[in-house]
Amino acid sequence: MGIPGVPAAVAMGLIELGKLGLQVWFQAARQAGKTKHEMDQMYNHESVRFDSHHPDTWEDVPDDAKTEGSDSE
Amino acid sequence: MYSYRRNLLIVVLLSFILVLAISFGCIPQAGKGQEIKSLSEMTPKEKVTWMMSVYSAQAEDYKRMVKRPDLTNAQKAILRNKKDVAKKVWPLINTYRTYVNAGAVPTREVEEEIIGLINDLTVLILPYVTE
Repeated sequence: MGIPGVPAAVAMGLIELGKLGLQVWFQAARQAGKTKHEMDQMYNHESVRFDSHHPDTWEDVPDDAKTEGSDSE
Repeated sequence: MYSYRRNLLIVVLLSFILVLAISFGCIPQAGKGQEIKSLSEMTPKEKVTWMMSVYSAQAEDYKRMVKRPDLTNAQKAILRNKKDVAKKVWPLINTYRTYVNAGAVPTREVEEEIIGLINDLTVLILPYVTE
């Protein structure tokens, strides 16, 4: 299963790059033109969000053997 | 199914190109006429807000992806790399935030290390694009 003519790993890499690019730009755009008060509010919101995503909360990626269809590329 | 995935890929690619075009100032930001600051133009508070937001977006993306039962080996490798980068970058962003909260100017070394790690995410993904 995949995109005809595009290896699955390449498609996956492109999608990940696109997502990262969007996140980087989108946040810079959100911050554009904010007043000091608005910036403080955004900072507090992002601070709480950041704390909730400590690396300890990132569950491990399943072992290759445990995932069905992992070698379908 | 193939058609849906092909269309999805095209949309993602076009979005990425659009983002690059906007980032480099080729397209004016519609409506408000507000300029998007580059990282070097941001205040320390703006920088750390941006860093925390990009980190959290990556974390949320990881947490969604890792639950998928149909992950390929390439996807797993990218996710493992992301988690490794997260372990390194979280304490650095936290340190940077501590400086900002104390009203101090964070050191350039900490800032460069964080930006380097965020760039690492791209570097870690690139081999899958160019293979």
